[in-house]
Amino acid sequence: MGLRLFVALLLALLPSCSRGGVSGADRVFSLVPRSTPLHGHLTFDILSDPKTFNPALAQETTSTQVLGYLFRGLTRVSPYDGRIRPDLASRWTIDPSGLKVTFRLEKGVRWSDGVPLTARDVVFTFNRVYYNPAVAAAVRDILMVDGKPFTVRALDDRTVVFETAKPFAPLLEELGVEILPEHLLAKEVDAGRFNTSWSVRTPPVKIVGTGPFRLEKYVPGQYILMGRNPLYTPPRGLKGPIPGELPYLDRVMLRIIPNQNSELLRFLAGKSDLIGVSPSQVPVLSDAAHSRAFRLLLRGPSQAETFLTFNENRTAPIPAYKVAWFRSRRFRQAIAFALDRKAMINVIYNGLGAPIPGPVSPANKAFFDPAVFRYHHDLQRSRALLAQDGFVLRKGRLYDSSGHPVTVLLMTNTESPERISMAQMVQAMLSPLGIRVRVVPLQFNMLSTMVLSSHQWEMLLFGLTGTLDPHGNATVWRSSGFLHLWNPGEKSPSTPWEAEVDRLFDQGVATFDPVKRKEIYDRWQEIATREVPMVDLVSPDAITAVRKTLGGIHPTPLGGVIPHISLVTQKARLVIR
Amino acid sequence: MKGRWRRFFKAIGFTGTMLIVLGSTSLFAEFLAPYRYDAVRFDLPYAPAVWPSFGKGGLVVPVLTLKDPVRRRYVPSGQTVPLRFFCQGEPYTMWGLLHSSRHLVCARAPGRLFLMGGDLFGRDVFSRLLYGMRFSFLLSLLGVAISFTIGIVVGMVAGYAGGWTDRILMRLSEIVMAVPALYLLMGLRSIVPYGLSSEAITLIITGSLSLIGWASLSRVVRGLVLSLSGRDFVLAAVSAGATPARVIFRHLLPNMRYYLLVSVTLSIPAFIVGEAGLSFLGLGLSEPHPSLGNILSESQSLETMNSAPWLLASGGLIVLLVVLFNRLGDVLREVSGEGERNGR
Repeated sequence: MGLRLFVALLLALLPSCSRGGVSGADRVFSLVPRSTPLHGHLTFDILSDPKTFNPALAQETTSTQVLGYLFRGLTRVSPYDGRIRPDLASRWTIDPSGLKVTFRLEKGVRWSDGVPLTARDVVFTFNRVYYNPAVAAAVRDILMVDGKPFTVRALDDRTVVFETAKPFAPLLEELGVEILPEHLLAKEVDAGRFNTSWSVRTPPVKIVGTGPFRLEKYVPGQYILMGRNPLYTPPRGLKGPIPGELPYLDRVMLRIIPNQNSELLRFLAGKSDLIGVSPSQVPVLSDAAHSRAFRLLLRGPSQAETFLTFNENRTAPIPAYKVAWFRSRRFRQAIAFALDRKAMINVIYNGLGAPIPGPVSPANKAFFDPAVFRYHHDLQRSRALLAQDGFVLRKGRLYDSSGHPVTVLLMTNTESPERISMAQMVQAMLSPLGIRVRVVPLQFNMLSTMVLSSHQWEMLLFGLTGTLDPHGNATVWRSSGFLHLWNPGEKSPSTPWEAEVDRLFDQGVATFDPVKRKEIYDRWQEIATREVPMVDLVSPDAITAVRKTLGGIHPTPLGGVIPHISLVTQKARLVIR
Repeated sequence: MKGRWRRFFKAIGFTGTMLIVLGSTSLFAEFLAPYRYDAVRFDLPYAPAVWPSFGKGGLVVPVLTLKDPVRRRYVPSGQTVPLRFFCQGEPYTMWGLLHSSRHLVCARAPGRLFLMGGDLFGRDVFSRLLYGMRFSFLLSLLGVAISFTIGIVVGMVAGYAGGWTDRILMRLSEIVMAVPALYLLMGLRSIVPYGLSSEAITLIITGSLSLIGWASLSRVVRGLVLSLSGRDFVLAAVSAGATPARVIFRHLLPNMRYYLLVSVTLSIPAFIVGEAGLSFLGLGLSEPHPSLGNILSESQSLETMNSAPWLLASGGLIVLLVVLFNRLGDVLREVSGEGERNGR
């Protein structure tokens, strides 16, 4: 009796002796060419429901992703080189003073309900929506120079003039924000209902845009179906490789699947065409690429990066001696030297990632300064820097000059298992220095309250997605910035280097000459890496798995694998045997 | 002497022996585990099992190198390190008292002995399981002690006193039983301040599990008290002028001892599973401290199932412990049945 029980339990204890596949039956997918690559369907999964269909109110990525198919801005950014290309505006002239830009709208653009797009729509969008204090528009802050809005005027039906109080270099890029129809939304603004208009409960036909697709059906928790917009006028210069009206696709179907594992299994089962892959999913996918007819596209380091930052706020409700550690440059540099970024990449990103030396990702070739100081793993230097600051090591624990043991709470958000793992690695990597780290994972909302309003935190491991134009970092790096995490919303810069960074950002935003701008932002990167208020860690590679049925797919360094959604084709049908 | 030990093992059977072996193994985890639970090797993520083999000069451990970091494929580097017994390894303090650095076995870096593979940070899963099992044992014994104390006292008082005391106490236990356990635990856990030490968190988890564990026991104890207090020997004792304490401790408790013993063994699995559930949800013991639940929770993604299925071993260990304790309950019930028949 006993022996049999023992054997049965032993079997339970050895769950698997082999590394098998997880995807079940070994089906093979084959491709059957379609008679035409046009009129195809594209299906992929998104993690959550959109919160709104109003582009001015959309904040989280699901809503903005969906709205990107339905709406357009005056300009767009080329995903290949980061240059500004025409979209709703076909051309523009910049006044030599740098204070005035005149846009000429593309001819014959109509809203998806047939009404022509005019300069009045542009003026309405800025003056009545984005600059309206009653509207909860997230983009208002980036459409300001020194806290002053642009002056937007229509000269005639197709000409709009933007004037700024000071020269504003990223103006063209920022004008990629969505243009809204005046004939439908003006009455909502007048009635004070704009913040609730075009919600997810609005009937799809009432959402009217100028994008390549229009909303056809939305079933909450299940899917969003978008059909081709027959009135779409492609931007100037956008031409597909094959004849046919743009967009080539007839339908885009977004299924809402709230779990990444299920999304992966659905992709492997042939139920979606495209999936963003995290590095740890690559081993599961790479074996199946041939039999399941897809390609894995590696696009190099992404713009998403992880960093470690310290609470340098003297008024924060944490012990003053801890703030004193964090305000010391040597202490921050010691931490930066103690972290082994290569190990982080190998452990967390399966080797598919890159160390990030500074606030600008190496993927951003236009602005990355290769001369920035790089922190490599060097415990000797860490120890030397700490010793210079009066820290002493006794019985394997570090004490500061006044005898306080160095123990810190490291907070991160629970939603990201990768960040939690990374925080645990930081914990293990700082322990040889005698620093005790306690990892505290908190839910995102609670974490942001603690960091931004109650300031009750010590060290934070978090991530931000970089912006193409360095000016997008102003909310983080300007001492008065809302996301100036280590000391949010300072009244005046508390250190000379923060004052210099403030000055650099003021100069950078007013300089149009690309060479001079780069010099200014290079200087910022050098200060940022020397002072390390944020210890930049690693960035995963951007990877996408794409079914071989799709055409018009090109991995680009900046914009995913779809250079323009209207150029995507469906070349073949998938047959599952 | 020898005969007595044989009788003891015969009485508790195979199951009890297994439990004693597992329990003492985990008690000496610091010595038996080749590595500390938080000894990381970031160059060996999800390393497969590495067993010693016979080589030059006795048992050796092959050294692995990470050949393909994407798929976490390892190849033997050709180098080996000798496997030593009773050797000096990482220092530890056993039970908070004994400072030592002796381990049963060790393999020096760059080699590493992975009896059951490694986890994401290259920590030895076998060592972590030993520490995790100790945590499960301690937590369940402590939890059973607390919940049985409360349960027996409440049940005794309610059954013996009767009347309003009985009614109030029993309604209270029903209220406790009616609260959905998982939500109560999650609620309790969320009001605990962050940044507590792992010992404090252990106590809080145990406390919160026991807080809901006593109710059903108190009802059974009350029922037993009611049925026993009508029996002749109790009535005789009462009429002879025995104090309530004497009646309870000399007459009632001894007659319930087999029932209580069996239900202790049956409650322990509930605590083990309860801890595993909480840790799985991230509400239990926090990393890097191992518990069976948080080791298991590491294996919940598709990727881990693919590249490190050995992390599921902690699930197997949970099953093993639960089955063994349940089986022990059965064995004890059989023994007690025999005992009563034999008039002992």
